[in-house]
Amino acid sequence: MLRPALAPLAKSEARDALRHPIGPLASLVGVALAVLALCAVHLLSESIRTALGAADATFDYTHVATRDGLLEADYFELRRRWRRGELDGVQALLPVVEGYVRLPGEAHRLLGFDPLASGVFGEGDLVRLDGMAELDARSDDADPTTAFLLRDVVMAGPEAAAAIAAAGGHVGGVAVETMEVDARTLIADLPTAQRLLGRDGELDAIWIRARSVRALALDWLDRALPGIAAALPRHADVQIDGYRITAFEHRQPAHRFADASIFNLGVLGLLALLMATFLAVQASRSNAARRRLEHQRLLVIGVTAAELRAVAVLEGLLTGLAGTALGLALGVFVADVLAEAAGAPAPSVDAWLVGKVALCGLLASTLAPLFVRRATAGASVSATMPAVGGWRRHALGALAVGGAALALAEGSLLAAFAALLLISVAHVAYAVPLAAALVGRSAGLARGLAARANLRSAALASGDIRLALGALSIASAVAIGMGLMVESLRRDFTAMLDTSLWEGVYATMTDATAVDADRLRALPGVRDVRRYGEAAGWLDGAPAALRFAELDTVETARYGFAGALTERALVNEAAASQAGAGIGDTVSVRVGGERFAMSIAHVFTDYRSVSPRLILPLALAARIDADIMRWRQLTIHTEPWATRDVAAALGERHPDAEVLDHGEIRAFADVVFDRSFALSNSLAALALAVAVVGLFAALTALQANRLREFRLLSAIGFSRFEAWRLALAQTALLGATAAVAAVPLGLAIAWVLCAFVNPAAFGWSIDLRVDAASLLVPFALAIGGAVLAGALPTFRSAFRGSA
Amino acid sequence: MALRRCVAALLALAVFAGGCADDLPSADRGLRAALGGIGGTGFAKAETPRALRFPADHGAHPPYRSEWWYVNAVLSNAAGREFGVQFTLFRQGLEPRQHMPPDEGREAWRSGQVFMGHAAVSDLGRQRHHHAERASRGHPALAGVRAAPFAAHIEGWRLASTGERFLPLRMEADAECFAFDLALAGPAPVVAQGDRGLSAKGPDNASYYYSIPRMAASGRLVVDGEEHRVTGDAWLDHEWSTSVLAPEYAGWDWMALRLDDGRDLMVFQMRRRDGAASDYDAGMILDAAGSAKILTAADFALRPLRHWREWPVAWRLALEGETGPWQVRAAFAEQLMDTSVRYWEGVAVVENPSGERIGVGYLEMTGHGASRLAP
Repeated sequence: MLRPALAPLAKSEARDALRHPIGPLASLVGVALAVLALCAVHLLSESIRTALGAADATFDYTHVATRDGLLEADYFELRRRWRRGELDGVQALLPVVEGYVRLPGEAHRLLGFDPLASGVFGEGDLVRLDGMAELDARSDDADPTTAFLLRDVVMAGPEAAAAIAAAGGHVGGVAVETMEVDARTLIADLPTAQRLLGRDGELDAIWIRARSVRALALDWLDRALPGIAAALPRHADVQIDGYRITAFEHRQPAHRFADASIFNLGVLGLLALLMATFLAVQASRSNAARRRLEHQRLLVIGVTAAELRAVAVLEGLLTGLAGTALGLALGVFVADVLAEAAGAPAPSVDAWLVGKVALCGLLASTLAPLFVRRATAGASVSATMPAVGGWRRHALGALAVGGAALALAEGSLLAAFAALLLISVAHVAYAVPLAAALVGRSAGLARGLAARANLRSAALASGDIRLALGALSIASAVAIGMGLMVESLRRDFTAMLDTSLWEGVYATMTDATAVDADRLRALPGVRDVRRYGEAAGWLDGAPAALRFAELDTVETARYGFAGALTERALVNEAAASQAGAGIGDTVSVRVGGERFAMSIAHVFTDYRSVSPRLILPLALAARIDADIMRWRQLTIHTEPWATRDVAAALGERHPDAEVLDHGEIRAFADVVFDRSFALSNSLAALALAVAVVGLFAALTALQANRLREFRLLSAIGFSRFEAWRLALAQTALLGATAAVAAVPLGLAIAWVLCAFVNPAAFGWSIDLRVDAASLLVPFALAIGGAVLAGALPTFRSAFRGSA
Repeated sequence: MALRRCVAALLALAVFAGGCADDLPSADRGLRAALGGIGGTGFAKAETPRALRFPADHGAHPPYRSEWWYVNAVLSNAAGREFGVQFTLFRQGLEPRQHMPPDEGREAWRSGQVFMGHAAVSDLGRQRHHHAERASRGHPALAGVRAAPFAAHIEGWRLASTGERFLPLRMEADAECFAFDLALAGPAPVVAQGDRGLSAKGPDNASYYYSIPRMAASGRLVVDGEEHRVTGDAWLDHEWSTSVLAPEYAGWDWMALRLDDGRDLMVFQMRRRDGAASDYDAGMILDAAGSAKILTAADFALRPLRHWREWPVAWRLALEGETGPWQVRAAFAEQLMDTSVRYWEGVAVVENPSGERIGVGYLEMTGHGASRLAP
């Protein structure tokens, strides 16, 4: 509470804020944009996870234990060991058998398990099957949930259940009931699934629910910064003799991919918050500098420094509250729009989110005045050139660089982002002051008084608004880094398409075996016709997509391998990572009841999928149960001039086929590619926008102190317009200073993204290539943004100063 | 009888079934349905007295929905330090069955039974109470009951005959902070509770119920890492039924006491929600010669004297024909079973009007506190 005597002080602050609204307004806008970013990322992450969680029934199990020839007896023995307390950290075990059942037109994944295996009723798996509860609530005589345990029944999500109902309502003679969970997987009690899959007494895996203090802490951390769990190795502490243990997120690349994407977006959201904090600090500094004399007088008449700070904090608090409310409303709106566009469930706001963004918004806006008032009391506009040296700065820079090197050596996603943060600290400590000093030093080289004065003035000004410049520089560097990474990925992606896409026609149909290949080959311009078999299988106990193809030199070349293959396999990077295997290693593959060991001939980059994928010799397809194999893919290699005619002919003969030529596939891939990065680009642009707003506020405060300078210019013959142009050129120079300083940081960010973040997050390796556009566009935006930010303040100062 | 029947009924109601279905979250309703509902459709009912047939009646009765095997024991080590042990295996049928399932094959998973085990140890010296809970579907490798030779088990916890005859029994269980491995020996009489084994609990509610009030217990007990060789007396109940606690009843208070003069006493009162006296309060007293007398509500009176939280941990027990009321008080207050359903169950001592200890046993109370799974 303020003393009653301080009421005039608060009124004075309020009056000042009304007279000079730019600073508070800029802070408000900055906080609002940062909160918007945080809020939208949080809500979208919840929405995406809800969708993924509903689709993949994992019931909070964290690990999967597998071994060759796993039987029920092994499960019972493992359970005994668990009950004897021999399995540290294990909370529950679940016996699982899984496979695919053939339904008309589609093979569906079937998951069989014991719903009462968690061992504690009320907290177990069955309770989580909310769809069953709904089913129970609307059933009259039938009791399908009891039937689930007592008789053969299969539960299916609405879509699958409708499809099954249309085909007779049974799976292998077993009745199907609908559950209100939008799951792609059919579920059944363990003995039912064993019967349907013909695997009595056999299991595929034992799911484990393991929790440690570390994992619980990570869960909380994950709520604070969604996706961060994907950035860290998790649940690595479960080990059981005789079993291969895999954390669930490694079996579910889609989850890990989503979490990694969410985390990347979350970091960009934090970047916006950092910009907002810089902005608030800059606004406070400017306010302190502008009102220095007034504050000194207040101190003389008995107002204490603490009271001055309290009033400033109160102002920051109000600004933060307004900005948070605005940002929250905008964030919810944006998340709604994005979720609807993505077809994801509508996100819902909860107390956790409101608390989180409010805390962030208020911290950003209130801590700055606390810090600034204490540090800058008595500060005035700089009259000295910015210093690059100083032992503290050297020490800080050295620590930051050393820390970044250590973090990169650690290799995880979080460590990579920590390295980026440390590099940014080094950047603020060194690069921006260095660039400003260089601008100042270059003043001596300039021809003409005005140019020299301009350079020197810009260098001086950079010291006063170094936070705003630092923010602009970091935002520009992020834009440069992301741009370089995206363009590098685009090149690699395009190269992959070049390698894998023939000139020709690609068709997806219900049954490609019904196509008369000989007739197609007889068409003019057709060079080759190929069919591809597909099946869902398991690689070392984890789900994997299998493709069967004639692996001659032409086909293997599509995956970057030279030579024909008859017994070995091609695997993508995700599969190699999943199996912990490389070229020459042998992996265990299961599809249906068939098991075979495959030697890896080549590991190919596969930007199209984050899931394990294997390309297997066509001869193996004959060993696979026909009910599991799908022959839906057909490619026709054509002469360029014949592509369109062949596509038309195929479409005419097979109306059910989805026919695309390679050009259409490329166009589609480009659209998907651009859409994938649209949100991250938007967040980077948002951070840049916040930085520009901050610079605007800083320049407004700075120009207010330059009236005398403009009067001098007027006295020596500068017109108002010339004075404005001169001032505007200074802001352009400041922007250029930030942009120049951003280039090395941007390159460093791009390198870390390509060499560390993407491999850690998505399993993709990207060769970094530097292109001019990715450098120049953010460079130009930084200068343009600086000019834009400075246009109004300099205009007002120039015309008022010369009046 | 024993309030194990009532415990099971409560468990059936609150854990498996879930009280008033309309008030329950949808997930609980789903669980209720998954585990059989509360209607008991098709299950046999305990309605008329029947002759107990052993060894068959030591085993499971799958035509009835609920069943439990319960043992408590008050033990002491060589230094005289006292402990209490409780073990209960509950069975809940999902649908009426005539037989338990085969030992292997797909049908082994289709037992139609769900089991829950509770084990607890009370360390009277340190006044510490440990408890644990296990639950599983019926499966020969996980949980189940066999009549002869008798064996009831749930994932390593076990109550089983050591030979062809029912007694002696071996009872073993372990958890994070305790473990016990006890031998329970006779000779000890089997006492049919109620009317020749039919124990009425309310209008249209009854169970089949027998007890073995006093078995010699000895064996190994581990508490908080310390191992003790212990001896003492144990009480066994076995009860099965289909009907559950009537809606007008909130819970019950039950005690099974072994008096120093050789007599064994069990009494319970059913607590009506409206506070009125229940016509179904009952009990049994067995003299040292093995002669049992069934008690009715007119033969005894229970009144709470002191509470710990919402639990009455000291009682005034007035028994017809005895001089002066006794006090039955918890050996220490904190013997709460914080399991899926909360109830209080622990060692109690019996004192005469002069404050002299004249017996020891177990006290059990339900319905005083909120259930963890209650809506």
